[in-house]
Amino acid sequence: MVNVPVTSLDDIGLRKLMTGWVRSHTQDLQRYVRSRVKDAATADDLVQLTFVSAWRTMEKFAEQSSPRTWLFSILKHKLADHYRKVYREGKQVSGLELTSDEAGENTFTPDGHWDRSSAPVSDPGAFRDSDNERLDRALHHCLDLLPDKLRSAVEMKYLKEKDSEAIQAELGISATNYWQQLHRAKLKLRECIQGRVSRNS
Amino acid sequence: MALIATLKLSCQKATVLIERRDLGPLTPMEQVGLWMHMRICAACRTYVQQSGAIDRLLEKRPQPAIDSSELEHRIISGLR
Repeated sequence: MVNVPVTSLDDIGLRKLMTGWVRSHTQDLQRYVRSRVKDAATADDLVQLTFVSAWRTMEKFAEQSSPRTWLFSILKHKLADHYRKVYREGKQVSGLELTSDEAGENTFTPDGHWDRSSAPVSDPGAFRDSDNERLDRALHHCLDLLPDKLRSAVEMKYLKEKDSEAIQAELGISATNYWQQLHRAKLKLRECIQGRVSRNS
Repeated sequence: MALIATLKLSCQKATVLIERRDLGPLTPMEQVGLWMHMRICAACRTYVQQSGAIDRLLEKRPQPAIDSSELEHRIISGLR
């Protein structure tokens, strides 16, 4: 690690430092964002934007935090911006425009019980969440099938570290509306994953 | 009896509460209602396990290694 304060470096020194960061951290940033964004080119653009942003604000880099932590915090902001935009531009999934499937009407019977075709089937092996490549693949596949708004609702939960108020402010929706969207997203995800992990077994 | 009827949850409502409690505490009434529902509903007990597994994966997102050299090159040559 370079111990010279960033502010004392000349242009060549700064460029050298940043080039080192690009070489050391691009892969981790790229893996992080590729697993959270459907389109690989968009994901890579977000990594590039992160470095552009870091490069322009190098004087703000506090020596006490590591470059990795700093770069990840910039990337998470870029990702939240991305999903806020995706959410706003996404097809409406609340109110009358909901298809019966998106409203969860096919998942539950009119009196709120599981519909027989959608009920969770106990299969602890298939849903074991460590060292389970098939489940990992199913999750990525099923996340990419979620409608834009529901995907954004899920991603925001983790980007904003489950801070409901921050998420609602970011998406501009009420708490109740947000819970409904998360619930719908999880029902769809779970059903899709169950279909994939048990079908080939 | 009226209280029991108020506490009684459908699977649809129970699963809403299961998702919501990951973001913050439920009210005591909701907690009791959910506890009662879980005692009698095997499908929702399975849902809790599967939903929890999905949450843990969403948090860590296992992702295979990728070759980043092209992107590194693009980023470095884009620094002005």
